[in-house]
Amino acid sequence: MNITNSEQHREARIPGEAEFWIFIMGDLIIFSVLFIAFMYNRSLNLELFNHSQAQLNQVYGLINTLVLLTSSWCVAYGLLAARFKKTEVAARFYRFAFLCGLVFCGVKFLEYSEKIYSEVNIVDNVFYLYYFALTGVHLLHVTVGLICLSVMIKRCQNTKSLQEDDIQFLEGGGVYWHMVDILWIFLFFIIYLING
Amino acid sequence: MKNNFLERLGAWSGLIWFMLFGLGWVLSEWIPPISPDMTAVEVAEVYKEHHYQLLLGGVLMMLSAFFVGPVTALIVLLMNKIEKRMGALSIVMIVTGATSAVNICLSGVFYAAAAFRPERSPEVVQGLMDFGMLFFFGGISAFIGFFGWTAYASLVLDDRNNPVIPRWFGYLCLWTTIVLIPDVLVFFFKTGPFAWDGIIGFWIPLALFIITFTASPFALKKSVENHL
Repeated sequence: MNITNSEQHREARIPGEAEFWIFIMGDLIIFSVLFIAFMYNRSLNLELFNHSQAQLNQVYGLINTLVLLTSSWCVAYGLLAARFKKTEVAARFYRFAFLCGLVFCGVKFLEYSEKIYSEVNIVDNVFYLYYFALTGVHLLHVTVGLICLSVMIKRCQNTKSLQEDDIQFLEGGGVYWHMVDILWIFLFFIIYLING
Repeated sequence: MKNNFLERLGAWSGLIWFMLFGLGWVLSEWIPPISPDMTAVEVAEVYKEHHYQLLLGGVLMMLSAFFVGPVTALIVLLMNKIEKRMGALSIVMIVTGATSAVNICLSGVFYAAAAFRPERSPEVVQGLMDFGMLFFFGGISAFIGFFGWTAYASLVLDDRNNPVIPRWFGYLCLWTTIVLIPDVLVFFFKTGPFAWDGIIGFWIPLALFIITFTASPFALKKSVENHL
C-alpha cells in the first residue's frame, strides 16, 4: 500500500475514492432488497396496491423528480467548474443543488402531512407502510446528501485553488447525489406510476 | 517485545461479541424474533415451551457485553493516534462504548428475566420481552454513536495518505450508521417493514452487522500492527 491514493485513481479513473464505492454499492444493494420486498408485497396485494396508489398525488412525485434531476445537473456542472478552477461558479452550482434538495424535502413533508391528516386509512395498509418505508429511507439519504453538499460548498468557498483531495471529495459527493437521484427515479416509477 | 495482547484482542473482540450475542439469539430461535404482533398469551406460550433455551439465550447475550470493552478501548487508542492527543472524540467514544455495553447487557438481562419465571402472568412476560427488544432494536442512540464516531474519525479526521483506520472500514461504518437510524421506528410499528421482525427493523441491520463485524478484525488488526 505504498502507492498513494491519487496515483491509483489516476490510473483507474474512478470518480471519488475507490473505497467510497463500497458505500455506494452497499446502499444500492439495500435499496434493491427494499424494491424487491415492495414488488413481492405488491404481487400479494395487487388490488390494494393499485387502489392505494390512485390516492397518491402524482404531481408531487413529478415535481420532486424534476427537482432532483435539476440538482443532479447542477452537481455535475459544479464539478466541471471546479475542475476548471472556477470555484465561485462551482459553489453557486452546489448552492442551487442544495436549494433543490431543500425543495425536495419541503414537498415530501407537504405530501406526508397531507396523507397523515387525510381521511385515508394509512395505518393498516401494506401499501402505505412500504410507501413510508421506501420514501422515508430515501429522505434520510437526501438529508445526508444535503449535509454532504454543504461541506462541498464550504470547500469551494474556502480555497482559491482546489487540491486533489478536494476534487476527489466533490466527485464522491456528486456520485452520492446522483445515486440519491437515480434511486428516487426508481421509487417514483414503482410507487407512483407502475400499475396493473 | 511489548505485550499488546489487549490491543490484539480488541481487534477481534467486536466479532467475538457479535458471535456470542448471535449464539444467544440463534439459541432463542429468534431469526426472525418473536413477532411484536403476537398476543401476550401467545408470547408466554413460546416462553413456556422454550423456557431453558430462552433463559440461556438471554444470559449468553448478557455475557457477550464483556467483549464490548476491548474493542472500544482499541478504537479509543486509534482515535488518540488520529487526534494526536486525548481529545474530545476519544472521550466521546469511551462514553459511547460504555453505554453500548450497558445497552447490550441490559437487553440480555431483560430477555432472561422474561424467561425467569415461566409461571407468571403472560402480560409480564411479554412486557419484559418488549423491554429487551425495544432496548436492543430501538435504543440505537449508543450503537449509531459507536459506528458513527468511528466513521467520523476515519473519514473526516484521519490522514488520507496514511490512515490509522482503513478508509474502507470507515465507509462500512458510515453505511451501518445510516442503515441503523430507521430502527428507531420499531417503537411505532408492530407489523410491516419497520417492526422489529421486519425487513428494515431486522433483516437489513442483521445483514449489515454480519458484514461489518466479520470485516472488523481485518481492518483493526492492520491498525494495531501499523500504528500502535
